[in-house]
Amino acid sequence: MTAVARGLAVSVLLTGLCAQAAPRAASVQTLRKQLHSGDATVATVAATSLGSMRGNAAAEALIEALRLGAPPTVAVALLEAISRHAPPRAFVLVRHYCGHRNAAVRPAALRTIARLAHKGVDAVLLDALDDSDPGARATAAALVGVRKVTRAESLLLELLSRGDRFVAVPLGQVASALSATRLAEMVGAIPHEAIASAYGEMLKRSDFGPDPLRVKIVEALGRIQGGASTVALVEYIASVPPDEVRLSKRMAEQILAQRE
Amino acid sequence: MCGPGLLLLSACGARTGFRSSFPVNQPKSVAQALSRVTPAELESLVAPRPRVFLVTASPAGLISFDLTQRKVLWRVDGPVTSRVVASPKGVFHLAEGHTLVGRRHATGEVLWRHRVHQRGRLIGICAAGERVYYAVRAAGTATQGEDGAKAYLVALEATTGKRDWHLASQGTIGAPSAVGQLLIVPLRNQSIALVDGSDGVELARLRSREEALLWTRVTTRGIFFGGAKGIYRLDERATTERGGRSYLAPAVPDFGSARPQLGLNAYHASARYSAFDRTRALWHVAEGSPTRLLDDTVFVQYFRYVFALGLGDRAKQSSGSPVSQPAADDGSAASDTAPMADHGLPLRWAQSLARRQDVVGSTHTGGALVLVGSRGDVLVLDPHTGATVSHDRLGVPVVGAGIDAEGFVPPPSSTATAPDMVNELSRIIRDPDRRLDPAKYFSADHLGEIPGMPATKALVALLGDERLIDDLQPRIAEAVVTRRDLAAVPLYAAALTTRYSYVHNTRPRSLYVFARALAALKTPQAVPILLPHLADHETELSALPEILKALRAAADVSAVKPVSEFLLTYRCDPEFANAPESLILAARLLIDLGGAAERKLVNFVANDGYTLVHLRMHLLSELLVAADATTPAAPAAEVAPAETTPPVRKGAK
Repeated sequence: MTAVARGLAVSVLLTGLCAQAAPRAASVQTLRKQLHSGDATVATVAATSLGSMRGNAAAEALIEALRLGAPPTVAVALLEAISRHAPPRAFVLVRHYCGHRNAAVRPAALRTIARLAHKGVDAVLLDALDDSDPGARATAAALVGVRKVTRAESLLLELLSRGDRFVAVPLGQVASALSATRLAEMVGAIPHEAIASAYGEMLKRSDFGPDPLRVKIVEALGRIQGGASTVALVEYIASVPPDEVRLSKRMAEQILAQRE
Repeated sequence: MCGPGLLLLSACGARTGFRSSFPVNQPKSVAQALSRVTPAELESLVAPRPRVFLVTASPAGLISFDLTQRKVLWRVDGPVTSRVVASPKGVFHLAEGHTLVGRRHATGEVLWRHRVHQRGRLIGICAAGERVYYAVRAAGTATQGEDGAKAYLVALEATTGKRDWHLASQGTIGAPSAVGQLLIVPLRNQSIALVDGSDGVELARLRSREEALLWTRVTTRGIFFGGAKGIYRLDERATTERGGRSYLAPAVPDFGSARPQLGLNAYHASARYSAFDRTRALWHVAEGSPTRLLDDTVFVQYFRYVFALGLGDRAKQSSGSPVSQPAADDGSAASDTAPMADHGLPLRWAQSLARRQDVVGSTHTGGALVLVGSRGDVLVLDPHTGATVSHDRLGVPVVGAGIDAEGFVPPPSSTATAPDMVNELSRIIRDPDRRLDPAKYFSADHLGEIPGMPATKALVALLGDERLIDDLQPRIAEAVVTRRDLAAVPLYAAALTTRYSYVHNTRPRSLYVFARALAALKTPQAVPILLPHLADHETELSALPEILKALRAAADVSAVKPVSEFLLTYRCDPEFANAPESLILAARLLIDLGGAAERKLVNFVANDGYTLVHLRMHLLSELLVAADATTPAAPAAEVAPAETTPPVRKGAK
């Protein structure tokens, strides 16, 4: 290829690339205007689109719209979109929305804040465990469980005793020996399925132990009839490395064998 | 025994008295009648041995309790079916059936029994000098209270029970009282007859056109009579009318349907102990000033409470002029139904009986208040302070008590302490007995008038008390708000540190009230107290306007950014669609306290398509902002969200 042809080819290539880049920049501006259109449906779609785009401009457009306030449905879309960008600078704003009066907005904000790299996230989630709305509490519980916020243990126990069954799995994800004891005391006071779920999560954790403690939990599961305890035992057995010998695992196998 | 009917009466020798034709309001007759009562005889009313006679139930009986020695003198069994009266000659009461009994003072031993004349229904008993007197309705006559009902007045020798004389009446008569040889007899609801106790001859008669005359009372300071509204003194001026009489009208609070009476109704309430004994107005007259209450105080006994109310400067000193009741001389009911607080009478002290017992017997002796409780407690109170001078617990159920203690002045007690008014009123307000609700309202109103931190603390504590009846909360709330006590702000702040917690089941109580109180104070201290509640999603919608009013009244610019955030966040929230008041107040605050950026923000809110319609309309119609159809520039750069610390709940670390 001659130098002229090469230069032409590069030029065409660059022109093509610029042609692709120019529509994306224009889209952010257009979508930004749609966020402020006053039409919730249009704004929601625009938010979703901005959420899937890369770059600071898109994130900034979303943050700006949230800062100016929006109807709850639009606010939820904005939060979900921001969560995909997860800019740490949005922490203060999202924290504000974690305390929004609308019960549909708060869980969306909690999910968003959990994606931000900020040292204040755990405190916000713990605060939300005290929310009057069960949806917010459930979201916060799930997030503290995934994030292994051990400080949440006593709160989760309290919520479980108050009837919030959805905290059983998160409790199992953060529990210590304290929970093992407290759960045993709750047998009969709260549904067996919840206790079984919590125990099951505890057993599956590689950091939970020692084995004598696991044995006690397996024994407790053995006393709980029903599918939830069986599932917990099965999952536990499957989680133990095959070459590892544990008394707790053997006991679990015996219990399952008796149930067959 | 005489049978019913006038002829038979005549045949039995009963004179007919109290004729309608008897001349009334004759000054000379009254003066002559009164001249029979010497000062010595009035002084002799002082009980030589102050006693309380407790009528017991389960078992039925009578107990004589010595107030000076503070011990039971004697106890006898058997039914007591009337009030108990005493004189130096004995103790007298109706036993079962129609038998009047005379007992020895020292031992309670029965001295004599007397079958009530014609076995009639007892109206009342009194005793003075050598005689005991009783009034009775004749059996078979018309029912109580109707004109024409026949009754008898009978005099017995006190030591033997032998009948001395008896008088028939063609009109209704009430329970008499007596001093020396003078009988004072209520007659036909409108008159007072003065009768010679030695022979039953009527000496003089007073009639009132201003009000019904329903009771009489004899004390060491004189003879008094009256109706529902006032107290008349029986003196030389008693025959004059319309303001000429010696008259007092202490404004007794109207506790709903149970208005404490100045005297026991001689026609309906004097025969036996009843509910009338549980609500009384207790009083005594000042020495040397017949138209002035002792210490310018009237005591209201209401079931288990006693309130001391001062007449104070409103008491006029000239005799013959109505006291505290400018319209009393024409009989108008100016104060009959208005609550106590409207009269502005200061509450001097309040006292409640221990052990949730009602007062079943009471009197003002001139030197003390003596109260008898339904569980057999006998209390002597210092009338000046309400301090309990003595308290004896007999531990028996009591249905009524006769108190023979005129002139009793207890020895001073070094241990008697005056009740703390704030504590007593708080205790009354918290009483769960629903019969006593009127006294609770009365107490709440007066507690609100007591200045100082102890009363404020008590009111704040009552605000948070869920056990109080609903009707009381608005009164207490109003008392807190109207106090305008800047020193109370830390108290409000402390009360509002309680935050909503699902886990610990707590929530801030009375936020609405404290916000109003802080708004009334117009203090910047309100800002840090209320901002967390503005930002808290658990704060009730109804409290938000009060919070914003308080923030606006505080006039502190530190509220501007958080309120900006609030307005932006909720300007398009459907929860506020029908209650935009708080958003409007937020906008007003920003305009008042903010600068150009805040005006721009409000302008944006007023013109943005997402903003709630009602809010937009209000902001534009109020000319707070001008309509601006242009697409708003993003004011977000000028209005960054406040770095507000979100509410921290219990349990969160």
